Amino acid sequence: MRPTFHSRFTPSMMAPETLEALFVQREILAQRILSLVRDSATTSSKHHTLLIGPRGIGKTHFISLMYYRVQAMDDLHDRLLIAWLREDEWGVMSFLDFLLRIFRALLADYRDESLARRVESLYKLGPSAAERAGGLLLKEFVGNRTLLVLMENLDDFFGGLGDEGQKRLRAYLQEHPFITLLATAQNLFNGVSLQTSPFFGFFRIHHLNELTLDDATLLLTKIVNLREDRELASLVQTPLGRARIRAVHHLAGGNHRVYVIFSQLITPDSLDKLVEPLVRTIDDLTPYYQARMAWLSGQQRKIVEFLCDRRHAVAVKEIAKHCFISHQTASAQLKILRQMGYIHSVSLGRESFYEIHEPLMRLCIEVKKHRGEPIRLIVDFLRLWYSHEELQQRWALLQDQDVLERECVYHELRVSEDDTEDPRVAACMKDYNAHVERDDYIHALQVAEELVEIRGDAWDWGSKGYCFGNLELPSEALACFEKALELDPEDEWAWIGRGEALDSLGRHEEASTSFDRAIELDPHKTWALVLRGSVLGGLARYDEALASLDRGIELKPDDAHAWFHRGEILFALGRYDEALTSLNKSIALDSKNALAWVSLGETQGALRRFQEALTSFEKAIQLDPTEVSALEDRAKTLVALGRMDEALEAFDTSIELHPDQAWVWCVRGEVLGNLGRYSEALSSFDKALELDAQSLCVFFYRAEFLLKLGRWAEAKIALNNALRRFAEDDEHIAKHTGGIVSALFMSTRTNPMWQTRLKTLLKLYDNYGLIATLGPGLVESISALKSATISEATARKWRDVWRKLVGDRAEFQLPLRLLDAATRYYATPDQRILLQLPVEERKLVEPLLGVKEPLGA
Amino acid sequence: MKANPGGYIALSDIIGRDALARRLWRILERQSLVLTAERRLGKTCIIKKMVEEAPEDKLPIYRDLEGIRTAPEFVETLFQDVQAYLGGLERTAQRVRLFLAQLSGTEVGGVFKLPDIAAPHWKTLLTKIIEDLLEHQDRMVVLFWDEMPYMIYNIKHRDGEGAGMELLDALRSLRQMYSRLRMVFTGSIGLHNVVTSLKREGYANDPTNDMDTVEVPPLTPGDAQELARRLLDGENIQTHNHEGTAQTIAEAVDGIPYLIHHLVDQLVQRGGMVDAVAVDHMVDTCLTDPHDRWHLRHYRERIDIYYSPDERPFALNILDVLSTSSQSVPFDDVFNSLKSRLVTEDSEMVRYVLMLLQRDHYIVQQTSGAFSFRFPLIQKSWKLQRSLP
Repeated sequence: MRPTFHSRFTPSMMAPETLEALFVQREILAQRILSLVRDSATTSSKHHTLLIGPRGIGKTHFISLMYYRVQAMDDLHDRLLIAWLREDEWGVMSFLDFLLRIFRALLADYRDESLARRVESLYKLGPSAAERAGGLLLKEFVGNRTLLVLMENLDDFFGGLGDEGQKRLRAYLQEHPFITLLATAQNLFNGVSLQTSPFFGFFRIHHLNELTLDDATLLLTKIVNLREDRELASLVQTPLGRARIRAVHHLAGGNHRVYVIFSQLITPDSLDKLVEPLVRTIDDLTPYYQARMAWLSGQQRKIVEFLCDRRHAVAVKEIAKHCFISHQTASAQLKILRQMGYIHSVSLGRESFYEIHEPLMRLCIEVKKHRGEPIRLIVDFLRLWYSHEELQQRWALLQDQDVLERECVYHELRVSEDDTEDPRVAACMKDYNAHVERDDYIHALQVAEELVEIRGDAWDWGSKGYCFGNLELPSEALACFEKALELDPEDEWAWIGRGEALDSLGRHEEASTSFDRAIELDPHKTWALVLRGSVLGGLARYDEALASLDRGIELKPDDAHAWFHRGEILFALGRYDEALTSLNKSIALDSKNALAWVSLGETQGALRRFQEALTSFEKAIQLDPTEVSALEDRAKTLVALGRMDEALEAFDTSIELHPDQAWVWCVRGEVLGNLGRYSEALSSFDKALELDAQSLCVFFYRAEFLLKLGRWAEAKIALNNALRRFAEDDEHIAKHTGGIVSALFMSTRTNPMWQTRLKTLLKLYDNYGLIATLGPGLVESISALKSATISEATARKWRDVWRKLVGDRAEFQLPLRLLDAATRYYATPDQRILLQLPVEERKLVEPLLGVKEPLGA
Repeated sequence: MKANPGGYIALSDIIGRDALARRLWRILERQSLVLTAERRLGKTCIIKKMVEEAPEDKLPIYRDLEGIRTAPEFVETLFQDVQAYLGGLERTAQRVRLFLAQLSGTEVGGVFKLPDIAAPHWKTLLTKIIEDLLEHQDRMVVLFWDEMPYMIYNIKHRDGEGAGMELLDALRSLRQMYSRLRMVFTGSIGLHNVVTSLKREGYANDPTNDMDTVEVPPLTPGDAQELARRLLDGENIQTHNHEGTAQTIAEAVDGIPYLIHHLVDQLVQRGGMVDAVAVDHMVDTCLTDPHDRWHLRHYRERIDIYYSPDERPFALNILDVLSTSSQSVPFDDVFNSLKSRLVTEDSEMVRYVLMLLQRDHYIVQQTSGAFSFRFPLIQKSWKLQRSLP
């Protein structure tokens, strides 16, 4: 049968299976310590670890678990002995006592009769002789093995040993390094933290963390699995279950033990099943908290009691005053109490405020202070558990004989009438805000779901929608905002959220209407005005967009987002100077908006201020190294600056982060082509096509680069493909045709080949009715004649082939005239040749010929 | 090799102390020595290594003295050590036995503990124990006594200032008496702290002026890097650049082996890939750690313990001045800076406190005469603790 005994106060009594089944949060630490134990057992190194954490944090559970895990390491049986000194090893007052406790633990586990006899004989000696003999006996018994000593409450233990005992212990450990210690303590204590103490710097210290809400949920899940409690198992997964765990978290402050105790209270869904176990639980817990109080000095207890009475955070000055102690003493004691986990502090400016760390401790102490009147405690608890409405319903159903319950519920209702804030909601709101502040929308969503479950008003649905929106789940967000508006049609935030969700879903017109409604409800809602401006901009309704944004800016002149969107609209309108001003303003208000830097860079680029644009894109990348537009724009700007190698590197970085951007592969191909790396360029284009690139340039560049590689047959097909696809776009085709003609010119030097290929070219362009674009293409190709490898004769031959093929076609007369002039100019760079051309024709050809000082300029 | 901050380090895992050990053996050829250093700089590791790897012509005997409370107890402990050694040679401590027989009037057999009657005669016994030990072998005897200042402090605490000094004097006269006897004192609280308070009580002698004093330095950059590299290997820590990361670790903690172990241990707990940025981040985290897991706060705290009320403001302000300077500061500049913080014209006091701070390992004096923090890490920590700009 599966062992399920689950001790809440003495985990060391639990079976190893149970300890494992309930272990959460610390597996990495456990593995680390096991590896150190192994290292200590198998080498002459000896590690000493001290775990620090307040009572109830799970120290004994951890030590017990370590004991069983180490015991199960079969390969260490011959190398390692374990002495587990239990939690309450009272009365250790000397090093001799320590040795005797170790013997007791060893005898309990190893049952060595000879050792028992020899230990017994120690009692015949005087203390100092027994200590020496005991030390030698232990060394002899352990032999060449290692002794793992597990010990709890090291702080008390050291207190008992005193300075002298500690020094003797340390000397023994130094002289006989066969012991490895794994110890726990409630807090850092002088015995290890003072530089003058013998064990200063001796331990590897690890501070145990409290349970987070997620850890607590896992722990409770493990508890219910252990108990095979299906009802609780399914409840833990629901928002209601999580809300109750959150309530326990609020009470328990991350204390493992309290979760274990409260696990039984999570399930009951009716009050009558809760009150009695609750009272019993409080009764169970009270001695525990009393024991915790007993650990404290009189002065510390006084402070804790005072803080319990106050029920809220209190400044040091007030604590000192009410406890009749000096400010300095109060500070020193508060520091210790904080280290021991009894209290925590909140800093406001230079002042610190202190309060009880676990509200439950306060509640339990109150029970004792107000004997026979546990009402306030239960009332507090009920308020965390149930809503006011639920309790009202319950009150109506209660019978006269349910005296205790009636009394509790009556008090709760009275209290909650005085104070309308539902503490469960308050706990959820606190966590929700904390998660949102950290941009942790997954956890914020969980809390929002709980809020929907326990209160369910428009705000809660709106919060849920807000989280979905931030998690980029616009459909789910939209559903939540719709629900919020169903509950409160005048919730302008819900209208805004709805608008944002619709915008993300591409339903821009509806989004705009949603923002309109929010603005109708509150014409001063700047955020709605800004978002509406942005959406209208997307719909190319620029004037309306600008009006909305200007109104937003009028209401809130320091709204960086409004200035940013305004800049974007002005950019779209081609009003670059105004866009620049607006974007600079936005950045001055919020220099952390990477997108604003991108827009600024794009505007600077449009103004051909490439160097500044580059700086802006780099700033954007610094703020968000994954921002795709910044990476791509930076690369494009480097191309514009002619820094091709860097541009290529930049494209590669961009592709590494966003490999599915087709156009980046296209531009990368262009850059590679520019660098003469045509094969790589073709691979890049192939990748772009694989990603479904529909850009004209990919098809034309493919044809051009295939030509440049001399792959005429493939080039012909590629060109045909390009012309077929983009026959309508003659303007862009004209631009690319120059490249095609130049490539064709460079692809061979023989007349017949040129003739054949040009005939095919003419046929292709004719087929698609694009012959008119070939003339400008021929003109564009004139610059190719400049190459040092082209002789005057070759240039002439090229001209003659063209003359032969199209000399009689009207649309080629001008291009042929310019080609002829260019051919002659290359042969004799005499500007009089160019003067023979009309001025408008001359102006066309001069830049292509690279004339530095054009005539009549 | 796993990171082991504070625990017992296997001798094979002690990196880079061979040259120092050779130097110390050379010193021991001519005189005894006091080995000083900050806590956790590896004094015990060094002497344990020396004991294990002692030259053939030396007989090393190691003992940790911190738990000993009285001079007679010390003598008894030494007697046990000597007996254990002689027992191995199947010999006995004849002189001691004879003396004890004379005292008690009976034969003393298999003595485990000295009889109470012997306590007032601990000095005579001490001499006889050493004589018995030296008589039975030709080698030079080297007594490695770890945590000697603790013992003196205990004795002083229990039996008064004079008792501690009496023992130190007795040990010095033994050293002077026996040319084949050497002693090595080590201790974390600094013998000078104990002796200074004795001097305040009017004791004029310097009981260790016949001994050489050697300060344990941090590891050389190469050895520190080697230690860090071995720990990175032993802990299977993933890095982009193993040697580079090891170098960063070594430099970040000024080659202090204990902190190298600590830092690697923290990196193990952190998990994931480690690079120079991660190391620097971890160092910063540890320097501002509210739990002070590197125990650096004691540099501030012990000023209050070991410095007199007159010395304290000077010590604090000198350290403040030096901590905010990126270069070493000449005496005149230190003094001038102090005058803007304290009302003083007492340059002698400043010189004296500078000397104390050097002896307590806070600062060093460069050959130029200027002063600076001994370890940049401690300087950084001091600045942070004192919230200095």
